[in-house]
Amino acid sequence: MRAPVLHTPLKPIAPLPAWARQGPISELRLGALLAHVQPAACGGAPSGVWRQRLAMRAALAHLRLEGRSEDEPTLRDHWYLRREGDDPGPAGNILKAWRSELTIDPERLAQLLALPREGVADLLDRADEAGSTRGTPYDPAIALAFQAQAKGRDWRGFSMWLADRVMARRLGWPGAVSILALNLPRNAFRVSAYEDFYAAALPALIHGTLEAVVLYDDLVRRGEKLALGAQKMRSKDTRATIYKLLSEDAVMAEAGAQTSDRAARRMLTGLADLGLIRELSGRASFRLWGI
Amino acid sequence: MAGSTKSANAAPALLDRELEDLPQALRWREWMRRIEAVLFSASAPMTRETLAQLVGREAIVDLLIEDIAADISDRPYEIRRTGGGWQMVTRKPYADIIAALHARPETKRALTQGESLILAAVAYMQPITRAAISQMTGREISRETMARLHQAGLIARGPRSPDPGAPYTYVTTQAFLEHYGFESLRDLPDLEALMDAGLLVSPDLPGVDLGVAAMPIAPEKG
Repeated sequence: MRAPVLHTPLKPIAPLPAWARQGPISELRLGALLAHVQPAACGGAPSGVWRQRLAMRAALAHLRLEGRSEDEPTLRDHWYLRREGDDPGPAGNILKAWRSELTIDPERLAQLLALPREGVADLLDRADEAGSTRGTPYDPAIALAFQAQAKGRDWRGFSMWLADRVMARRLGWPGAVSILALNLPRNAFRVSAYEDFYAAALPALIHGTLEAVVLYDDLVRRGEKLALGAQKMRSKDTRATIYKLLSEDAVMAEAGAQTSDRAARRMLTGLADLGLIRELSGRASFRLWGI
Repeated sequence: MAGSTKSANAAPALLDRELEDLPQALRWREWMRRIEAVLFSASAPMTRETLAQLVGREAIVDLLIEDIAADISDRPYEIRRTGGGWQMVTRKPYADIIAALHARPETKRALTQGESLILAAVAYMQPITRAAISQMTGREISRETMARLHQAGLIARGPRSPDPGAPYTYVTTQAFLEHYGFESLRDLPDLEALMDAGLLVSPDLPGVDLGVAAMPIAPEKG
């Protein structure tokens, strides 16, 4: 008898009610969406790849605010073609910040984001405080983002990062889900009144959460297809590879516990030929696969 | 009792930080002196944490530094904020004077124009391979040159490039920022703005004599 290809069954989330998918901008709608995304945010497959794809999108938005021009494939290369001890460069470091755990050393974070250490530490402290207050999850998140971005241009990306962290804390999620940055327009940072910032951040959170829900649904579907199709694969590391594909944005053909890198490459190419995964870099060498 | 000179990193257990027996003004003065002394003797930037170990718990390092800066405003040296913290450096106009005294440029050999050009390429385009730098600067960059910059700590190894052979890329380091007095890479002059202002033809850019001027900005086509 063969072990199932998945370590744990995929965790789909319930379909969204129509009024949450489309409707007026309101706190109620955001609340409904956040409640909806809760199971995805609380772990299980495919929330690893989901979190990382969202972090990628947020990092790209952050890079654009910084006036940098890296695109997704480039950033993915910077990240995955590293070896132990390699510095991923300024853009890769920003991605690293977005992918980081909920608790992060201020010194480390300040380095990644190229911001002064004291300001970063201070805002992280305030995020800790805001994360443990009572009340809605988004109010303290937006308020802290507003305070952070008021420190100057360089703090804009970090302010969005902070908001997501405060929300995750408030909602008791094990890791941050990158939401605010996905849809926050650049001109949200040109306002001076908190009300105006809030008015820009609220729809951004709604659309960001919606985007996250849609992405998660899509990943669950792909994951199901992959698990079904992979049952036919006879490679020894099938389970490990599927697990990796469901927890990582991209996977390289590397030697596994029981197989060589060639076998891994054969398997990934096979999965891609079956249309179960995609090659993300568009290259014929140093390929990166993902669901 | 006066503490002996200790390295700033040592546990300050024997150091009287609070100076309770001194009146407020004198305490402040003493704290300023401590920080100034440490900055004066340090060869690398000192972080806030390090400096905070020398002074009372409620003392604010930033304010102390500000006061010191005001005190030495007419001196040929200043306290500069760099990536990791604060550092005491000579003011720019006096760099040449010092260089003139040591007939040899410095113990640390100054960067050649070519090396500066490479650093500029890495700073703007990182992570970037040696081949890509060669292409950008229009001259073949040798392995040895990169190794020298690496040894000087100005560049570090980045991720591998997906080009054939998976060559290493290079990125700039904290030491690079310190060398040019930048707080972060955002302080690099904005190339587009410089071009718009017609400054890119001028050989010496204010603040950064990186040789940026000679650098082709982007491949003309293709």
